[in-house]
Amino acid sequence: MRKPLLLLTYFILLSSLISAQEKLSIDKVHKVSLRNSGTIIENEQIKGYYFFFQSDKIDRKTNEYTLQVVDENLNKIKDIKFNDSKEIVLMESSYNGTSIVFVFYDDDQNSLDYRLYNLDGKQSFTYSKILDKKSERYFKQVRLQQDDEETENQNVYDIPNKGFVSVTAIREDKNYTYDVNFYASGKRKTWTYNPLENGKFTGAEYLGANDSIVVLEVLSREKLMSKESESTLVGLNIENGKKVFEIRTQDGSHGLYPMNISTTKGSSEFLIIGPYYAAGERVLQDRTEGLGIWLMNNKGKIVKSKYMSWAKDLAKYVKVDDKGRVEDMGWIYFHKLMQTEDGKIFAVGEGYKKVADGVGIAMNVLTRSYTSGVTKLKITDLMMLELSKNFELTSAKIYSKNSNSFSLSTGSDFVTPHTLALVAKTYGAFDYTFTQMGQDKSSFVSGYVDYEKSKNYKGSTFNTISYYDGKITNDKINLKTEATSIRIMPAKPGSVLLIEYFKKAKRLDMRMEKIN
Amino acid sequence: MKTNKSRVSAILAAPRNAMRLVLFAATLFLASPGYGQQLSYHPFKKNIVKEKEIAAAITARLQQDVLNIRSNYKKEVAAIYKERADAIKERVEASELITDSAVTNYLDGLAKQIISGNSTLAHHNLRIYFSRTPWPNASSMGEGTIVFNVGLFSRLDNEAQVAFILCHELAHYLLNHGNNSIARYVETVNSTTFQTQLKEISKAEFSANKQLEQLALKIGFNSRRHSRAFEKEADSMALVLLKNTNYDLREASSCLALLDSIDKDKHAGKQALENQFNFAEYPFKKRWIENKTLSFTDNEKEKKEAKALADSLKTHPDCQLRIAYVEKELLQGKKNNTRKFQDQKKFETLQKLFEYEGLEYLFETDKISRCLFTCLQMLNAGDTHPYVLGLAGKCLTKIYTAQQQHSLSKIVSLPSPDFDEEYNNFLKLLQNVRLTELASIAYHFLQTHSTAGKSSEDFVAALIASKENAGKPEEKKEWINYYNSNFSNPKYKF
Repeated sequence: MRKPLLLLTYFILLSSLISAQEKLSIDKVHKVSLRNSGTIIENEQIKGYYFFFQSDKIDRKTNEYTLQVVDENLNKIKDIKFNDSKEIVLMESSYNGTSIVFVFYDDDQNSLDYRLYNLDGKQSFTYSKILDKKSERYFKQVRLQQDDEETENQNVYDIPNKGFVSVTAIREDKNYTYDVNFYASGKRKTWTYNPLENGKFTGAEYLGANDSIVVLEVLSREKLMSKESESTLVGLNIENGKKVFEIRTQDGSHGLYPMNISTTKGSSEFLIIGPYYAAGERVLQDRTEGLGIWLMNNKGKIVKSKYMSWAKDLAKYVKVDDKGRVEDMGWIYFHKLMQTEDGKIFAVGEGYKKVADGVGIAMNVLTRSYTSGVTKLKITDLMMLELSKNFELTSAKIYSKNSNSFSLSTGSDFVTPHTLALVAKTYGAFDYTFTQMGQDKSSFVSGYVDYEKSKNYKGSTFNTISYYDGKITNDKINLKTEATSIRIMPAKPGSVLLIEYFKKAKRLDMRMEKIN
Repeated sequence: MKTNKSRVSAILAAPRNAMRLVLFAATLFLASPGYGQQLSYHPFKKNIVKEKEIAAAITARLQQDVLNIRSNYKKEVAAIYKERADAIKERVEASELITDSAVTNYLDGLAKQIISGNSTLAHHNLRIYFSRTPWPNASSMGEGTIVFNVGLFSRLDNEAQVAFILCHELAHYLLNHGNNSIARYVETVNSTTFQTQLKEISKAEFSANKQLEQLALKIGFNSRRHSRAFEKEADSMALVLLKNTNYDLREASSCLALLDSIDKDKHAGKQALENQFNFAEYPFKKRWIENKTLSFTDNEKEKKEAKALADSLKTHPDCQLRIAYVEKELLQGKKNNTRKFQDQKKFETLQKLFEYEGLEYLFETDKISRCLFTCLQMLNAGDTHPYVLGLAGKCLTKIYTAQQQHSLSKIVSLPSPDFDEEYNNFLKLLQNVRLTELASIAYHFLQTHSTAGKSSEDFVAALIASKENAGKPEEKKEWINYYNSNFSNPKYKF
């Protein structure tokens, strides 16, 4: 059944009754504003949503806030009320099976607050992290550039039953770096890892954790504008934050860019998956050679590795040229790599190629100047690769869709298509939207948007590729609606959440629909 | 008459025309030769003319009530009266009320028993009808309409209990509880005091919402306090009205005891789901109902506060308190009738038919998950009536189609803490199974019941659809042939 946006139900109920009157009514006087909302994530699964309201004004500097938590079925399960600075912003939330953390940023104090709540809604711990002015500026800049896939967090990640790990971009003197913090949920305990790399420009991304280590992918450059990046994997002891290993992601002539980690409970080995580059090629900026998979141990040693190349392996399924470009699709940008519980590995990617920009060329001709770029990025079809548990490519399927384009004024002409694809990802220009992992990673759903113009339907569609019970299936939801706007959000495994906004009626409808 | 947990506000009314106790059409209650001891059930006939008459009577009553308003806020009171009348007419126009004369005559007969013994009721313009809703509730709308849900009727033990509930709702009406509530509410929100308070709050720079919340709660507390007082008054007057009939007064007390636990499903707690969706060739999978959801518990302080708030906002006193009160009143009375039924057979037959009618209403109003779940519970309890099987089949087909077209949310509820565990498990199953699994469940379920259900046209149509969805073309063909040769005036085309 459709559910309206859950507000402070009882209160609104009363006030709406009273609003029937012409005189002053509670409804007219009562003011509650929704500051933001987001997903509550546990192990890449949507466990619920939060709605952050400013529910009252306490004094000039303080507001009362209501943090409403709804479960995956949109049932309101808790209202958490508290007073705080009027400058706070709720950034994101994560759930680790025993505790839920909300990350607030206080613009007044330049602090990141990690507020942990037990499942009775009682605040258990608060961990604060003060950012100096330089770090604050850098942190905000990095946040803006991060990919905003809604099934993934950007700062805080759950460590089941233990606590949460946060990875924060910071600036120390002239160093652009990061630090890693662990915030325990069972007792007050924290550790910080700071890489202390002098003179380097370093960024880190959380890949995952097993029972003993936290694994990060770190990209560093000698200079801010330097084109060469070095990719390393860093493993930290989950108990004390001490560095266990730091290795270059280079295996002989193959340079790997790790995108995903797959762990098995109780095992000291884990899988690292990502695209690889030929020797001498620049990570993320040059074309990829294929997909690499490493089996690593907790000491950072590669136990086994396997490389699946576009030119040899993928070419068995689709037409690939010697540069690794798939016919009609171009190069493939991999959005997500997943390992399911049966050991299979899946990679969902989208094609891209640099093409001439007709409009840009025409503008330059008309203005007799170089005011517009003459090239743009064409984003083409979607591709799903399937690998067996022995890391053999068993299927490569292309999903046709309408292409779209992305350009960066004159800037597009002077960067590689691969760098442009990275920028396009940051701007959300790809049609791929998100991947949701199913219960115990036994299934997943990857989604992308498209536009259909057929005899029966004309409008946007949301398309899915699902893996369930060992089979891949596809589905399509038509998004044409009477609402002013419609938004698709990730939901519990096997479902998506459709949010429709009706401007005239000032109404927001949310409905959960299943994917076939 | 409501239970403590029920939500609709109950007030009351009485029969409008002279009540005629008319014998039911014999065919309605005759055992069908085709199904042994099973009743023949077909959804009750909708009497469009009667529905129009009821709507017209509600409009006429509204006009009369508006003329009689004695208030400084006549316009505001009239607006609420109109809103109320429109809401009732909407229910009438949606054919929620049963207008089949066989049923209305029965209820008229019961009401006549009460009215004939209580002369104060004789001159009131009342409309007393059964509602097709399966929730156990009855309500008095305050303007002469009394609605008795089939879901409540089919849970009672005897006609004396029905009579007590009718008396309770009539008492609300006679005591003008509904209109008094409206008048008090309008007076409150328009009063100088309230308006001054609101004005001050609207000007407050800080904590305005907190003050508003307190003000709203205060109104809520007052309103609920009056509601609880009204319930006590209604119980008291109901006993007086019931005393003047030949029904057993002690059934008032047993009725309240029954209402105390009526929110629990009639056929609850028998693992309907695991039994009905478990097949030799396609066993029930635990993972269909497994789902660890994010949940919060209240801490002790919150529990206490929530309980205190809930108690303060209760519209009805606890049933146990009401029972104690009623029993005390009974002890003081001298008269003690013993009659429990005018016609026990009719009562019991109607109870069974009402169970089916409630199901039919759920299906018509697209409450498909509740409808199918109730069908499964009834089948699990041994009721394999072809109607129930046919309806279960229709629900499965509808769910399959809706899931295929991504409109499942329009007909299926999501799991919720408001529902009991068994229903939540069923809803989890609907959320967890994929389309292919749903097709397999429907296929095996309908196949299992094909012998008992094949006399139902709806069942056979659903069976054919399930063969199609499960990819069994040969079996589908076989059943199409069966359908075409067994149903002479077919509803479905294959």
